[in-house]
Amino acid sequence: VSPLSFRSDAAAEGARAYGRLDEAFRCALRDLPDRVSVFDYRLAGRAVRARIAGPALARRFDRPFAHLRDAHAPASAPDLQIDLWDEAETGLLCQGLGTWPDATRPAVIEKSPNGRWISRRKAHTWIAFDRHSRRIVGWIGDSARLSQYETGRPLHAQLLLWLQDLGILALHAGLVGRGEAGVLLAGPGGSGKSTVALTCAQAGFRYLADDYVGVDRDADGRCTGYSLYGSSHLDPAHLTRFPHLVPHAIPGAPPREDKSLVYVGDVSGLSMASAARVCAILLPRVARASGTSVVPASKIETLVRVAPTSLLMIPFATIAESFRRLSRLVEAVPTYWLDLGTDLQEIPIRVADLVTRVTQEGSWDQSPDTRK
Amino acid sequence: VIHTELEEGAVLLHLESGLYYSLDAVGLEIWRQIEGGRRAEDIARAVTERFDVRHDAAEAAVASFVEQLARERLVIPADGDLARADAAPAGVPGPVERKPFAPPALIKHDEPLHQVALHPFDPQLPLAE
Repeated sequence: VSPLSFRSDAAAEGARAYGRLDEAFRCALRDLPDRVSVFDYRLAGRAVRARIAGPALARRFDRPFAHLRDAHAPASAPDLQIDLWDEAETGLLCQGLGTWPDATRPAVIEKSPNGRWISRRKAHTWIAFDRHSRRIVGWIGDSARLSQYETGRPLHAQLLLWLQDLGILALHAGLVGRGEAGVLLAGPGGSGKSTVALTCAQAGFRYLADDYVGVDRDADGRCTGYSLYGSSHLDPAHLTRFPHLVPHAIPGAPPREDKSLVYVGDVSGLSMASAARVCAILLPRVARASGTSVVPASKIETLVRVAPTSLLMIPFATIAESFRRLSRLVEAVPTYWLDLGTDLQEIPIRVADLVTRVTQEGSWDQSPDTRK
Repeated sequence: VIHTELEEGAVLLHLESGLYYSLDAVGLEIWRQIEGGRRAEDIARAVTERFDVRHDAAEAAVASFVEQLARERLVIPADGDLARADAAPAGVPGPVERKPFAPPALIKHDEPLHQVALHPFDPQLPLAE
């Protein structure tokens, strides 16, 4: 992937933040090499390398990405380099850092005018992203104090921006796979995305996401969906419908964290995947009937259902471009309503029937790149 | 306003309001003609060529539809001088067989984009928290 080009802007705010964090991280590498863990991942089909200073932070960081680990280190520079350190574990400070007393204070964003460097400062984190060199570097005050969302979806803002820079559509949607085929689950909150993803995973589908996915469309029009996080944030009431998940649920700290976090990879019997060829878009909705059924959805119905709730507004992306990409995706794959009945066991059966039907049709052929 | 054409019509996104609108096939034909800068009478003629409808009914449908679009600020009526009367209506030549006509529908979808979208670098909107 060719790097983005930016005008020189090294003195700007975001660039200075990046420079300070970079300098401090270099100290960690130099002074504490045995406390730095290195992980290689395959994220959105790209090589990502993380160097994490501080063993507890390393464990926390790796958990939601564990299913994306790549046994083969990239031969050349990775497509994204992530460098983080934990001050509490390493004792390493840098100028201007320190935990804010008010954890609820909104984030402070600094960006260089050309958009190359962006830093996002919160109470106990400061993360800077250089979009040109594709490197994220950041300070974590104490990983034990990270919020449930920060541990469940590390570097969420930065990763969405990185995906966008790669031309990958970031969607608020679920994704499950069967064989090489994947089914996108889209729609507003409460429509049943998590229910479908988890019941399908329980029935033998591979779990990729119930919240955020990346979707790439190649020159031949084939769409590949990518898993970003192996974590699920579930409402406690919702969780009771999945008794096998309950022992793995990490409760949030109310009132700000009203959900429980489950690392899907921890749950025995559930398998995960990093990528799947999208063969259909399903729009779950709660039906009044007892049975679950699949009925065709028009492209217009699909787009107006999916776009408002699934399209992510990411800075520096024109929303128009994301909208067009989503439109092309909706056009490219069959689209269906999934009317959810009360019998959860029936959901994966209907979804499996659909996958069989769609993949047996001539328009779908096996994708070469659905590596785990 | 940006739009995307789909098999049964089109979806419009009003970038300022973040609202979505859907159009049926007749609505899309009118939208295309408006984009081509055509006058109302030329648009009605194009609709008559492509759909099974009398010219006076097409004129009334176009007028009503354009009024709806303007009310939603999806179009801003141009002065008469600006509209193009010199060119034939845009698009493909009239089909051999005219499609069935139904009065064009503009459906407003009331869940605006900005209420649900995430903006990870907006300091006022903590991400998913």
